[in-house]
Amino acid sequence: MELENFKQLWHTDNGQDPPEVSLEKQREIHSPLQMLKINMETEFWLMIVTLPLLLSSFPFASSDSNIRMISTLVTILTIGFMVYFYSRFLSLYKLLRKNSINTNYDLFILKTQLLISKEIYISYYIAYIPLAFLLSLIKINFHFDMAYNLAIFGISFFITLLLVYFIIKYWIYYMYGRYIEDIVQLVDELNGIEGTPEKKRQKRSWFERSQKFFMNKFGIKGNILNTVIWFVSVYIFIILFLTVVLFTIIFIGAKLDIIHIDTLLNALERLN
Amino acid sequence: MYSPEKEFLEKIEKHKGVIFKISKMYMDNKDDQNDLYQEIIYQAWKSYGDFQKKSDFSTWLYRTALNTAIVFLRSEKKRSFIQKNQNIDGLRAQQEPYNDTDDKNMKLMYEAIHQLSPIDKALIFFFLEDFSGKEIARQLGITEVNARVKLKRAKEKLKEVIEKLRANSN
Repeated sequence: MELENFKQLWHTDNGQDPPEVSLEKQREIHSPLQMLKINMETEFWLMIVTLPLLLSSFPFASSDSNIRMISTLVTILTIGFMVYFYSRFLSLYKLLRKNSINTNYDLFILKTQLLISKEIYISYYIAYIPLAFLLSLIKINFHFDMAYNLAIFGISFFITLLLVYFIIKYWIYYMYGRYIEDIVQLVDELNGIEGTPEKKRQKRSWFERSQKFFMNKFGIKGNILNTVIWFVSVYIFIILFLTVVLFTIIFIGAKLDIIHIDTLLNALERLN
Repeated sequence: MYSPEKEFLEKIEKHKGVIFKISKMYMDNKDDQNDLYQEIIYQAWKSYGDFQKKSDFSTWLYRTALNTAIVFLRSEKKRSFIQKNQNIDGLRAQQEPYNDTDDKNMKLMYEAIHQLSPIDKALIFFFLEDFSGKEIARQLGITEVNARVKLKRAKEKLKEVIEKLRANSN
Protein backbone atom coordinates (compact mmCIF):
# COMPACT_ATOMS: atom_id res chain seq x y z
CA MET A 1 0.00 0.00 0.00
CA GLU A 2 1.40 3.34 -1.02
CA LEU A 3 1.36 6.33 1.27
CA GLU A 4 -0.99 8.14 -1.10
CA ASN A 5 -3.56 5.49 -0.27
CA PHE A 6 -3.25 6.51 3.35
CA LYS A 7 -4.64 9.90 2.42
CA GLN A 8 -7.76 8.30 1.07
CA LEU A 9 -8.06 6.16 4.17
CA TRP A 10 -7.44 9.17 6.39
CA HIS A 11 -10.25 11.13 4.80
CA THR A 12 -12.66 8.24 5.01
CA ASP A 13 -11.83 7.62 8.67
CA ASN A 14 -14.80 8.41 10.78
CA GLY A 15 -14.23 5.22 12.77
CA GLN A 16 -15.31 5.92 16.30
CA ASP A 17 -17.35 8.83 17.44
CA PRO A 18 -15.25 11.31 19.35
CA PRO A 19 -16.17 11.67 23.02
CA GLU A 20 -18.43 14.48 24.20
CA VAL A 21 -16.78 17.89 23.95
CA SER A 22 -16.18 19.31 27.40
CA LEU A 23 -14.45 22.54 28.37
CA GLU A 24 -13.60 21.19 31.81
CA LYS A 25 -10.02 20.60 32.81
CA GLN A 26 -9.09 17.00 33.30
CA ARG A 27 -8.21 15.84 36.76
CA GLU A 28 -5.09 14.13 35.53
CA ILE A 29 -1.74 15.67 34.69
CA HIS A 30 -0.93 15.68 31.00
CA SER A 31 1.46 18.52 30.51
CA PRO A 32 5.12 18.37 31.54
CA LEU A 33 4.96 21.91 32.84
CA GLN A 34 1.95 21.12 34.97
CA MET A 35 3.76 18.08 36.30
CA LEU A 36 6.69 20.29 37.25
CA LYS A 37 4.37 22.76 38.93
CA ILE A 38 2.71 20.05 41.01
CA ASN A 39 6.10 18.58 41.97
CA MET A 40 7.46 21.98 42.91
CA GLU A 41 4.38 22.81 44.94
CA THR A 42 4.62 19.53 46.84
CA GLU A 43 8.31 20.02 47.48
CA PHE A 44 7.75 23.60 48.61
CA TRP A 45 5.29 22.55 51.32
CA LEU A 46 7.48 19.64 52.35
CA MET A 47 10.42 21.99 52.79
CA ILE A 48 8.33 24.57 54.63
CA VAL A 49 7.31 21.92 57.14
CA THR A 50 10.50 19.89 57.51
CA LEU A 51 13.40 22.24 57.04
CA PRO A 52 12.68 24.72 59.87
CA LEU A 53 12.21 21.72 62.16
CA LEU A 54 15.54 20.28 61.11
CA LEU A 55 17.36 23.60 61.29
CA SER A 56 16.04 24.55 64.66
CA SER A 57 15.94 21.24 66.49
CA PHE A 58 19.66 20.88 67.28
CA PRO A 59 20.52 24.46 68.15
CA PHE A 60 17.29 24.88 70.12
CA ALA A 61 18.49 22.16 72.43
CA SER A 62 21.21 24.58 73.44
CA SER A 63 20.64 26.67 76.55
CA ASP A 64 22.60 29.54 75.00
CA SER A 65 20.14 32.27 74.08
CA ASN A 66 22.53 33.58 71.40
CA ILE A 67 22.47 30.24 69.64
CA ARG A 68 18.69 30.10 69.87
CA MET A 69 18.41 33.59 68.40
CA ILE A 70 20.80 32.80 65.53
CA SER A 71 18.94 29.56 64.78
CA THR A 72 15.64 31.37 64.67
CA LEU A 73 17.07 33.98 62.32
CA VAL A 74 18.57 31.31 60.05
CA THR A 75 15.22 29.50 59.97
CA ILE A 76 13.38 32.69 59.05
CA LEU A 77 15.98 33.41 56.39
CA THR A 78 15.57 29.91 54.98
CA ILE A 79 11.80 30.22 54.81
CA GLY A 80 12.31 33.57 53.10
CA PHE A 81 14.52 31.86 50.50
CA MET A 82 11.93 29.19 49.85
CA VAL A 83 9.07 31.64 49.47
CA TYR A 84 11.15 33.85 47.15
CA PHE A 85 12.24 31.03 44.84
CA TYR A 86 8.83 29.46 44.73
CA SER A 87 7.18 32.79 43.92
CA ARG A 88 9.71 33.27 41.06
CA PHE A 89 8.72 29.92 39.65
CA LEU A 90 5.02 30.67 39.95
CA SER A 91 5.35 34.01 38.19
CA LEU A 92 7.27 32.24 35.43
CA TYR A 93 4.52 29.67 35.14
CA LYS A 94 1.91 32.39 34.75
CA LEU A 95 3.89 33.90 31.87
CA LEU A 96 3.10 30.81 29.88
CA ARG A 97 -0.31 32.11 28.91
CA LYS A 98 0.84 32.80 25.41
CA ASN A 99 -0.31 33.04 21.88
CA SER A 100 0.42 30.06 19.74
CA ILE A 101 2.72 31.25 16.96
CA ASN A 102 4.13 28.04 15.56
CA THR A 103 5.20 24.67 16.91
CA ASN A 104 8.90 25.46 16.92
CA TYR A 105 8.39 28.74 18.76
CA ASP A 106 5.97 27.22 21.28
CA LEU A 107 8.27 24.30 22.02
CA PHE A 108 11.25 26.61 22.25
CA ILE A 109 9.41 28.82 24.74
CA LEU A 110 8.40 25.77 26.73
CA LYS A 111 11.96 24.47 26.72
CA THR A 112 13.30 27.86 27.82
CA GLN A 113 10.75 28.16 30.61
CA LEU A 114 11.55 24.67 31.84
CA LEU A 115 15.28 25.27 31.75
CA ILE A 116 14.91 28.58 33.58
CA SER A 117 12.77 26.86 36.22
CA LYS A 118 15.46 24.25 36.63
CA GLU A 119 18.16 26.90 37.01
CA ILE A 120 16.08 28.78 39.57
CA TYR A 121 15.68 25.52 41.42
CA ILE A 122 19.42 24.75 41.35
CA SER A 123 20.30 28.23 42.56
CA TYR A 124 17.80 27.75 45.35
CA TYR A 125 19.72 24.76 46.63
CA ILE A 126 23.08 26.40 46.05
CA ALA A 127 21.86 29.29 48.19
CA TYR A 128 21.82 26.81 51.06
CA ILE A 129 25.60 26.46 51.03
CA PRO A 130 26.32 29.72 52.90
CA LEU A 131 23.46 28.85 55.25
CA ALA A 132 25.02 25.46 55.85
CA PHE A 133 28.32 27.16 56.56
CA LEU A 134 26.62 29.37 59.13
CA LEU A 135 24.77 26.45 60.69
CA SER A 136 27.96 24.45 60.94
CA LEU A 137 29.53 27.40 62.75
CA ILE A 138 26.55 27.53 65.07
CA LYS A 139 27.08 23.88 65.87
CA ILE A 140 30.55 24.58 67.27
CA ASN A 141 29.48 27.82 68.95
CA PHE A 142 31.87 29.70 66.64
CA HIS A 143 34.93 28.16 68.32
CA PHE A 144 37.55 26.43 66.18
CA ASP A 145 40.10 26.42 68.96
CA MET A 146 38.70 23.45 70.84
CA ALA A 147 39.49 19.81 70.25
CA TYR A 148 37.49 18.23 67.40
CA ASN A 149 35.48 21.40 66.75
CA LEU A 150 37.12 21.79 63.36
CA ALA A 151 36.27 18.16 62.50
CA ILE A 152 32.66 18.60 63.65
CA PHE A 153 32.37 21.77 61.61
CA GLY A 154 33.94 20.05 58.57
CA ILE A 155 31.71 16.99 58.77
CA SER A 156 28.58 19.04 59.33
CA PHE A 157 29.38 21.26 56.34
CA PHE A 158 30.40 18.28 54.21
CA ILE A 159 27.07 16.53 54.91
CA THR A 160 25.18 19.56 53.59
CA LEU A 161 27.37 19.72 50.51
CA LEU A 162 26.72 16.05 49.94
CA LEU A 163 22.97 16.60 50.30
CA VAL A 164 23.05 19.50 47.84
CA TYR A 165 25.04 17.37 45.39
CA PHE A 166 22.60 14.49 45.77
CA ILE A 167 19.60 16.78 45.26
CA ILE A 168 21.09 18.41 42.16
CA LYS A 169 22.14 15.12 40.65
CA TYR A 170 19.20 12.79 41.34
CA TRP A 171 16.24 14.56 42.91
CA ILE A 172 16.11 17.28 40.26
CA TYR A 173 16.35 14.69 37.51
CA TYR A 174 13.45 12.56 38.72
CA MET A 175 11.24 15.46 39.72
CA TYR A 176 11.95 17.80 36.81
CA GLY A 177 14.89 16.96 34.57
CA ARG A 178 13.42 13.95 32.81
CA TYR A 179 10.48 16.04 31.56
CA ILE A 180 12.83 18.77 30.41
CA GLU A 181 15.07 16.29 28.58
CA ASP A 182 12.20 15.20 26.35
CA ILE A 183 11.27 18.75 25.38
CA VAL A 184 14.90 19.58 24.62
CA GLN A 185 15.04 16.50 22.43
CA LEU A 186 11.91 17.56 20.55
CA VAL A 187 13.22 21.06 19.89
CA ASP A 188 16.55 19.64 18.73
CA GLU A 189 14.79 17.20 16.43
CA LEU A 190 12.67 19.94 14.91
CA ASN A 191 15.71 22.12 14.30
CA GLY A 192 17.86 19.31 12.99
CA ILE A 193 20.32 19.58 15.86
CA GLU A 194 22.22 16.38 16.41
CA GLY A 195 21.97 15.73 20.11
CA THR A 196 24.00 13.25 22.06
CA PRO A 197 22.83 9.79 21.08
CA GLU A 198 19.89 8.82 23.21
CA LYS A 199 21.03 6.80 26.15
CA LYS A 200 19.50 3.39 26.20
CA ARG A 201 17.04 3.74 29.00
CA GLN A 202 17.78 1.14 31.55
CA LYS A 203 15.18 -0.47 33.70
CA ARG A 204 12.62 1.93 35.09
CA SER A 205 13.81 3.29 38.44
CA TRP A 206 12.01 2.57 41.71
CA PHE A 207 10.95 6.21 41.85
CA GLU A 208 9.28 5.90 38.44
CA ARG A 209 7.67 2.60 39.31
CA SER A 210 6.18 3.89 42.54
CA GLN A 211 5.11 7.10 40.77
CA LYS A 212 3.28 5.07 38.14
CA PHE A 213 1.70 2.87 40.80
CA PHE A 214 0.43 5.77 42.93
CA MET A 215 -0.72 7.86 39.98
CA ASN A 216 -2.67 4.98 38.53
CA LYS A 217 -4.35 4.55 41.90
CA PHE A 218 -4.91 8.13 43.00
CA GLY A 219 -4.24 10.43 40.00
CA ILE A 220 -2.59 13.78 40.89
CA LYS A 221 -2.77 12.95 44.61
CA GLY A 222 -0.82 9.81 43.86
CA ASN A 223 2.00 11.89 42.44
CA ILE A 224 2.02 14.08 45.55
CA LEU A 225 1.99 11.00 47.78
CA ASN A 226 4.89 9.49 45.85
CA THR A 227 6.92 12.69 46.26
CA VAL A 228 6.20 12.84 50.00
CA ILE A 229 7.14 9.19 50.51
CA TRP A 230 10.40 9.55 48.58
CA PHE A 231 11.25 12.85 50.22
CA VAL A 232 10.88 11.39 53.70
CA SER A 233 12.60 8.11 52.73
CA VAL A 234 15.57 9.94 51.25
CA TYR A 235 15.86 12.05 54.41
CA ILE A 236 15.82 8.96 56.61
CA PHE A 237 18.16 7.03 54.33
CA ILE A 238 20.72 9.83 54.22
CA ILE A 239 20.63 10.30 57.99
CA LEU A 240 21.01 6.55 58.60
CA PHE A 241 23.71 6.19 55.96
CA LEU A 242 25.78 9.07 57.30
CA THR A 243 25.33 7.87 60.88
CA VAL A 244 26.71 4.47 59.90
CA VAL A 245 29.62 6.07 58.00
CA LEU A 246 30.46 8.39 60.91
CA PHE A 247 30.32 5.60 63.47
CA THR A 248 32.54 3.48 61.27
CA ILE A 249 35.09 6.30 60.97
CA ILE A 250 34.99 6.91 64.72
CA PHE A 251 35.32 3.20 65.44
CA ILE A 252 38.29 2.76 63.08
CA GLY A 253 39.84 6.02 64.34
CA ALA A 254 39.53 4.89 67.95
CA LYS A 255 41.00 1.47 67.15
CA LEU A 256 43.97 3.11 65.43
CA ASP A 257 44.33 5.63 68.27
CA ILE A 258 43.74 8.54 65.93
CA ILE A 259 40.51 9.57 67.63
CA HIS A 260 40.26 9.88 71.39
CA ILE A 261 36.78 8.91 72.38
CA ASP A 262 36.68 10.83 75.67
CA THR A 263 37.80 14.06 74.07
CA LEU A 264 35.30 13.54 71.26
CA LEU A 265 32.49 12.91 73.72
CA ASN A 266 33.45 16.08 75.58
CA ALA A 267 33.40 18.00 72.32
CA LEU A 268 29.97 16.60 71.44
CA GLU A 269 28.78 17.39 74.97
CA ARG A 270 29.74 21.01 74.43
CA LEU A 271 27.44 21.15 71.40
CA ASN A 272 24.49 20.79 73.68
CA MET B 1 -26.25 37.71 23.49
CA TYR B 2 -22.69 36.92 22.36
CA SER B 3 -21.15 33.97 24.15
CA PRO B 4 -17.52 33.04 23.38
CA GLU B 5 -18.17 29.59 24.79
CA LYS B 6 -21.05 28.98 22.40
CA GLU B 7 -19.06 30.37 19.48
CA PHE B 8 -16.09 28.15 20.35
CA LEU B 9 -18.21 25.02 20.69
CA GLU B 10 -19.89 25.70 17.34
CA LYS B 11 -16.54 26.08 15.64
CA ILE B 12 -15.07 23.03 17.33
CA GLU B 13 -18.01 20.90 16.25
CA LYS B 14 -16.88 21.07 12.61
CA HIS B 15 -13.37 19.95 13.46
CA LYS B 16 -13.85 17.41 16.21
CA GLY B 17 -13.38 14.52 13.76
CA VAL B 18 -9.89 15.74 12.79
CA ILE B 19 -8.97 16.42 16.42
CA PHE B 20 -9.95 12.90 17.32
CA LYS B 21 -7.89 11.56 14.44
CA ILE B 22 -4.89 13.48 15.80
CA SER B 23 -5.55 11.82 19.17
CA LYS B 24 -5.59 8.45 17.45
CA MET B 25 -2.31 9.23 15.69
CA TYR B 26 -0.57 10.05 18.95
CA MET B 27 -2.10 7.56 21.36
CA ASP B 28 -2.48 3.84 20.88
CA ASN B 29 -5.26 3.04 23.29
CA LYS B 30 -8.79 4.30 23.69
CA ASP B 31 -8.39 5.83 27.16
CA ASP B 32 -5.35 7.84 26.17
CA GLN B 33 -7.00 8.92 22.92
CA ASN B 34 -10.02 10.22 24.83
CA ASP B 35 -7.75 11.96 27.36
CA LEU B 36 -5.72 13.62 24.64
CA TYR B 37 -8.86 14.66 22.76
CA GLN B 38 -10.22 16.23 25.94
CA GLU B 39 -6.89 17.93 26.67
CA ILE B 40 -6.73 19.42 23.17
CA ILE B 41 -10.24 20.86 23.49
CA TYR B 42 -9.36 22.27 26.91
CA GLN B 43 -6.07 23.80 25.73
CA ALA B 44 -7.79 25.27 22.67
CA TRP B 45 -10.53 26.77 24.83
CA LYS B 46 -7.96 28.16 27.25
CA SER B 47 -6.12 29.99 24.49
CA TYR B 48 -9.21 30.83 22.43
CA GLY B 49 -9.22 34.32 23.92
CA ASP B 50 -5.74 34.86 22.47
CA PHE B 51 -6.73 33.60 19.05
CA GLN B 52 -6.73 36.79 17.07
CA LYS B 53 -8.67 35.65 14.03
CA LYS B 54 -5.75 36.71 11.85
CA SER B 55 -5.35 33.14 10.79
CA ASP B 56 -7.90 30.58 9.83
CA PHE B 57 -9.60 28.89 12.83
CA SER B 58 -8.79 25.41 11.57
CA THR B 59 -5.10 26.29 11.04
CA TRP B 60 -4.88 27.65 14.58
CA LEU B 61 -6.80 24.72 16.02
CA TYR B 62 -4.67 22.08 14.29
CA ARG B 63 -1.52 23.77 15.51
CA THR B 64 -2.84 23.91 19.08
CA ALA B 65 -3.90 20.26 18.79
CA LEU B 66 -0.50 19.13 17.52
CA ASN B 67 1.40 21.18 20.09
CA THR B 68 -0.69 19.63 22.85
CA ALA B 69 -0.29 16.13 21.42
CA ILE B 70 3.48 16.44 20.98
CA VAL B 71 4.10 17.08 24.69
CA PHE B 72 1.20 15.06 26.07
CA LEU B 73 1.94 12.84 29.07
CA ARG B 74 -0.05 9.69 28.76
CA SER B 75 -2.49 8.66 31.48
CA GLU B 76 -0.77 5.35 32.01
CA LYS B 77 1.95 7.62 33.33
CA LYS B 78 4.74 6.48 31.15
CA ARG B 79 7.76 8.55 32.04
CA SER B 80 8.35 9.77 28.54
CA PHE B 81 5.84 11.06 26.05
CA ILE B 82 8.26 10.22 23.27
CA GLN B 83 7.44 6.73 22.22
CA LYS B 84 10.33 5.13 20.54
CA ASN B 85 11.20 1.58 19.63
CA GLN B 86 7.83 0.45 20.73
CA ASN B 87 7.37 -3.25 20.59
CA ILE B 88 5.52 -4.02 17.41
CA ASP B 89 4.54 -7.46 18.61
CA GLY B 90 3.12 -5.89 21.74
CA LEU B 91 0.99 -3.61 19.63
CA ARG B 92 -0.21 -6.45 17.46
CA ALA B 93 -1.30 -8.35 20.48
CA GLN B 94 -3.71 -5.55 21.38
CA GLN B 95 -5.53 -5.82 18.10
CA GLU B 96 -8.74 -7.53 17.51
CA PRO B 97 -9.28 -9.57 14.33
CA TYR B 98 -10.40 -7.54 11.36
CA ASN B 99 -12.33 -8.81 8.40
CA ASP B 100 -12.71 -5.78 6.28
CA THR B 101 -9.70 -4.75 4.16
CA ASP B 102 -10.24 -1.05 4.75
CA ASP B 103 -10.41 -1.58 8.48
CA LYS B 104 -7.25 -3.65 8.33
CA ASN B 105 -5.47 -0.96 6.35
CA MET B 106 -6.76 1.72 8.68
CA LYS B 107 -5.41 -0.22 11.63
CA LEU B 108 -2.12 -0.69 9.84
CA MET B 109 -1.94 3.04 9.11
CA TYR B 110 -2.44 4.07 12.75
CA GLU B 111 -0.19 1.29 13.99
CA ALA B 112 2.58 2.45 11.68
CA ILE B 113 2.09 6.10 12.66
CA HIS B 114 2.34 5.17 16.35
CA GLN B 115 5.91 4.04 15.72
CA LEU B 116 7.01 7.52 14.63
CA SER B 117 8.41 10.31 16.79
CA PRO B 118 5.98 13.09 17.81
CA ILE B 119 7.49 15.49 15.26
CA ASP B 120 7.23 12.93 12.46
CA LYS B 121 3.63 12.28 13.41
CA ALA B 122 2.91 15.99 13.00
CA LEU B 123 4.56 15.96 9.58
CA ILE B 124 2.52 12.94 8.51
CA PHE B 125 -0.61 14.68 9.72
CA PHE B 126 0.15 17.66 7.49
CA PHE B 127 0.83 15.29 4.61
CA LEU B 128 -2.48 13.49 5.13
CA GLU B 129 -4.30 16.79 5.38
CA ASP B 130 -2.71 17.94 2.10
CA PHE B 131 -0.76 20.87 3.53
CA SER B 132 1.78 22.34 1.13
CA GLY B 133 5.49 22.53 2.03
CA LYS B 134 5.07 26.24 2.65
CA GLU B 135 2.11 25.73 4.99
CA ILE B 136 3.92 22.99 6.90
CA ALA B 137 6.92 25.29 7.28
CA ARG B 138 4.71 28.08 8.61
CA GLN B 139 2.91 25.79 11.05
CA LEU B 140 6.08 24.24 12.39
CA GLY B 141 8.16 27.41 12.34
CA ILE B 142 10.96 26.02 10.21
CA THR B 143 12.16 26.81 6.69
CA GLU B 144 10.31 25.42 3.72
CA VAL B 145 13.37 23.45 2.60
CA ASN B 146 13.72 21.97 6.06
CA ALA B 147 10.01 21.13 6.14
CA ARG B 148 10.23 19.31 2.81
CA VAL B 149 13.34 17.38 3.86
CA LYS B 150 11.74 16.40 7.17
CA LEU B 151 8.51 15.36 5.49
CA LYS B 152 10.43 13.19 3.03
CA ARG B 153 12.30 11.50 5.88
CA ALA B 154 9.11 11.01 7.89
CA LYS B 155 7.45 9.37 4.89
CA GLU B 156 10.46 7.09 4.39
CA LYS B 157 10.36 6.08 8.05
CA LEU B 158 6.65 5.41 7.77
CA LYS B 159 7.22 3.18 4.74
CA GLU B 160 9.89 1.25 6.62
CA VAL B 161 7.59 0.72 9.57
CA ILE B 162 4.81 -0.49 7.29
CA GLU B 163 7.15 -3.01 5.73
CA LYS B 164 8.23 -4.23 9.15
CA LEU B 165 4.65 -4.54 10.31
CA ARG B 166 3.75 -6.45 7.15
CA ALA B 167 6.75 -8.75 7.57
CA ASN B 168 5.73 -9.38 11.19
CA SER B 169 2.17 -10.17 10.26
CA ASN B 170 3.18 -12.73 7.60
